[in-house]
Amino acid sequence: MHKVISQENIADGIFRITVDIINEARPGQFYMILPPGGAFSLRRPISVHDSTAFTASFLYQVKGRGTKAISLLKSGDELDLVGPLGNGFSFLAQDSVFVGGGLGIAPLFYAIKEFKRAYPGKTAACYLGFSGEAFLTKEYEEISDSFGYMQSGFITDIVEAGSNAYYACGPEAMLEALLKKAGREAHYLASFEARMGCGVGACYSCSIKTASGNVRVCTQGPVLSAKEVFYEQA
Amino acid sequence: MSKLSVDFLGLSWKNPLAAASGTFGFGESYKSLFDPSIIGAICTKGITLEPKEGNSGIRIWETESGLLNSIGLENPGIDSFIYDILPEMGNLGTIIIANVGGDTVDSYLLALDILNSADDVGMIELNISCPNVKAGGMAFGVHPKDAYWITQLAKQVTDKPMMVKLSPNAYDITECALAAESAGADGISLVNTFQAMAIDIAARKPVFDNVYAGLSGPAIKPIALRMLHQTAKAVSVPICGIGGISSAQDVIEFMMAGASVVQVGSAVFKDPYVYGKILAGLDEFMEKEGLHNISEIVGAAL
Repeated sequence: MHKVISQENIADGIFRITVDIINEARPGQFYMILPPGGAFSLRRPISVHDSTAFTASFLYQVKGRGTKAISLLKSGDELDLVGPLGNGFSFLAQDSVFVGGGLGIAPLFYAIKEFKRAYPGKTAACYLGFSGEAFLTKEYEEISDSFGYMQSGFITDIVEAGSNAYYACGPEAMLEALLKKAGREAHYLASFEARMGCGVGACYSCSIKTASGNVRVCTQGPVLSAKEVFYEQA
Repeated sequence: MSKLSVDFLGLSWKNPLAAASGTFGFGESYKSLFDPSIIGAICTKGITLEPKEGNSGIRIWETESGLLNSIGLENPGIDSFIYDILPEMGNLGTIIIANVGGDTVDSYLLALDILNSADDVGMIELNISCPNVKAGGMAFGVHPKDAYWITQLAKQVTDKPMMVKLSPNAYDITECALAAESAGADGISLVNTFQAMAIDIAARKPVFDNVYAGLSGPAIKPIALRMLHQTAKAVSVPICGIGGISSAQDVIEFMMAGASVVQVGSAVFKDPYVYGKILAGLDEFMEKEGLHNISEIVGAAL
């Protein structure tokens, strides 16, 4: 069990919870979080949004009773989580583009920070797309070299093509549109979302089809090569 | 002999807990969290002769006190199991039970024949109860005569101890158990998941592409326990109890209802450390009750 340090209501239905935990996570990894109260049979896979040496925070949306129960936790309460799990992003030492859509912006904050820490001489361009209320734009702008966001329309429209490295998380339509923009030769990694049972590769609940056969998002992902996943795209 | 060790189908188990098929992969998945050798036996993910991609769409769904799954037997096929997976699985330090499914009788029998050469496989669990595949699967576990037929043929092929995993969706599970027993099954395991469903009210359609899925978890435990109790009264072969087990209390109830060993399934999703906790709970119970071996409680409530 881990102590909740803070719980912030970031936007309508969007929360950020910060937990006291020794940070071992790489950007793009996730934890399996058990909603409190004993009434839940499945943990919720939630990616690491930010992390310091002794904390991890998670940005999440209240979608059902599980995330609702998590959102009711207060500073000092305890949270049961297992992780970090999954592979995480592997960065190239190149100027890079980070694209997030909706709640998919969550893992990119830690990703951009870690990218800049590893390659301070390389630029991180960040583009965030929202449908409606935008959130945390200032925080993302501060850690990025260039920044843009939209509250409607397709964020991929304003993403500049021509970079060699792209990292993204968001709705599949956005991820697929970014592949068109980036081109199939680019190093383009996307973090995928899937319903999970175990989070460790045991149950095959999160399998998705890729160019090289079925992969389990929890262990072979959640970060996958976009062109492997959208292999049917011309 | 340790207090928790039991004999089941001629094999010596270090304790009566097995990992249920489909919830524990091929034994490797939870290694980063705990040592799987603490478990008495591990049932593999259901294996079929040919690789299977599994079902499309949503595959798992939480319900009140349980969960629905519709994986559809995704697995790499028997050859990949033997050459790519088993060499590592064989070193886990526990009994390996190969859970075998199939679309046709021939595909079951061919898979069983191939498994005869796999020394690391200690036992077979004949899966005639998967509710999530269209052909085969549960089809052999609904009517006693089908259960009899496939069990008899399977026993002719396999050299290994074999239990038959029964479906709670059978017309009469006790009749199916009797049929499997008279066809030569060395043991019975029950129950697989209950056929169930969920509906997406916004889309006005079933959640699962396959429409019906399998319900597991604490929600099914009392019904599974009743079915096990009825079956234990009817058959004389040893029984492996399955269905919503998540605590030492549950294990003890199933054993008192007649199970020699049990399987823990989807409870591991909620608590990856559930096996260690159950074993500690069993130790505590035996200490309190002054038992010398856990087998002393088998059938106590029959």
